[in-house]
Amino acid sequence: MTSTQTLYQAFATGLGVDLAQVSDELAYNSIPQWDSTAHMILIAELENQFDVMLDTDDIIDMSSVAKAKEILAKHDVQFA
Amino acid sequence: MFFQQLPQHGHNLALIEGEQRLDYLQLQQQVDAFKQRLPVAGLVLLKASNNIPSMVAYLACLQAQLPMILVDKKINDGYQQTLVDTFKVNALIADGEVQVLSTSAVNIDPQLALLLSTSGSTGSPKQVALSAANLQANAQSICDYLPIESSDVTITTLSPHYSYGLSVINSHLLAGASIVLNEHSVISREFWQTFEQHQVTSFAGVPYTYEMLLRLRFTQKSWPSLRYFTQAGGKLSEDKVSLLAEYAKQHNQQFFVMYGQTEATARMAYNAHPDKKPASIGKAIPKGELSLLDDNGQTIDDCHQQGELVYRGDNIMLGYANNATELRQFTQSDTLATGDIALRDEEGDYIICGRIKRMIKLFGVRISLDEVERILVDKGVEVAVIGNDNALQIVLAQPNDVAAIEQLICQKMQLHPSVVEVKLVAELPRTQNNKIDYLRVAALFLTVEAERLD
Repeated sequence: MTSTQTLYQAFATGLGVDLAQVSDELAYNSIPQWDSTAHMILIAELENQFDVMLDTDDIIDMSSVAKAKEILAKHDVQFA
Repeated sequence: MFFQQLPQHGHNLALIEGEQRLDYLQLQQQVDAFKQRLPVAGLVLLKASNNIPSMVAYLACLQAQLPMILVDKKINDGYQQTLVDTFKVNALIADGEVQVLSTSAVNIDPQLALLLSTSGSTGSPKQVALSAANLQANAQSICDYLPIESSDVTITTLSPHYSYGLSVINSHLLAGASIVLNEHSVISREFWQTFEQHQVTSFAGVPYTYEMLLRLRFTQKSWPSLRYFTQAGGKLSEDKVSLLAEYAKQHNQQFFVMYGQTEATARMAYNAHPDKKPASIGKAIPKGELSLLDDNGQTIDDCHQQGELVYRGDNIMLGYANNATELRQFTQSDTLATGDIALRDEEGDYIICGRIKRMIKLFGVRISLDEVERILVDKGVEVAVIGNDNALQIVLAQPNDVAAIEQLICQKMQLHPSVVEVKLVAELPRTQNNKIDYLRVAALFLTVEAERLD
């Protein structure tokens, strides 16, 4: 799996939505499933999948899939 | 009463919402203006959120002695209609607008000020009836044990229709302190920007709030304006209480673990030293009294003996109300049986051991296990529903469409799928009376594998 696939799968699992619903444009509060509860489950999923430790600012800035890529890139995750 | 004495606090800032600020005199002016628009009698349904129009409407109803049902602004239409019909509501208030529904006022006990729901997601119309004296007594007790000062700035983290959230508002208005009206989650950038902008000195949280804060590495940062923080609304695990208590100590802050119920307006007990006793709810609030009763209704005097926790105090509700007829007259009880099993240590501190009734709390929302069971039984599923404050556990006695069951329950109870566990057993253990034996179901649950979803 590429990093992007892993990322999309982590969002699908974390938010409890279909993989097909996940795209770079998907944003916090834009779908009913992505609420604060799901956000914390998503964070845990991302930390597990990419073996990173996100800090306070990372977590509160993770407002879209595209933003997640940016933040994970800071933690040395490569996206093609 | 705190709601009648607003002008006493003069030019202290009362409410802050975005760029809007109201001092206590300006707040009273807005309340006066709003009172003109209220019906003269009857019952109103106030759809509230943490904003200025909701606070003005709430205070106007209290001052005008117009009883209200306080609900979430995001209440669904079906439940709103149930409340309107069941309680013969005369007017709706939302976003500062009054919509009169009927002028035929029913007979209501003059003591009644406020109706709050305790059902969480269950959608039952059952309400807890509170008087103005209840609200005042609890706000006063809270101000007596929490270090609330008129110079304090708190930020809302809970909804005003939830008794804990409302108690934060009432106690701060009593103290003449400032309230930042916030609707954002603690995991949002907006929340922390607002927090820093207004140099917030205190906040409240339920276990779930603190679980999120710890995930956010809250304890690895310093929040210099913060003086104290409180936790109530269910049991936070001991290790987390200890972590937060240790953090508070290191940063010269205070952390309070508290206990309460809507039936007691909000608060009944508080633990000011969770660093020493992380498992305890501490002692009764000022002017309140806690005791334990055994199965025969006798008071337990010994330490470390479990019994039902019973409370006495002026903050005990008027009673429950299921419909308009029951609003006519309330007979207030002088004791409140909490439905919680507790014990007392040698220093007089109480520790909650469990619930008598089958309720769990997920993400801060009370869920009745019996209700979840009923939903499935109604669909023809042979099932026992158990759980704890981490997961809802569904035990099936026959193979079934697990995905469909999970989806149904997640949707009905508004739960995230990760907290719903489904398992299949050969047979549901039952008691001699052929009732489901939940203790044995729980033991069995631990021994079988979870059903896999495709």
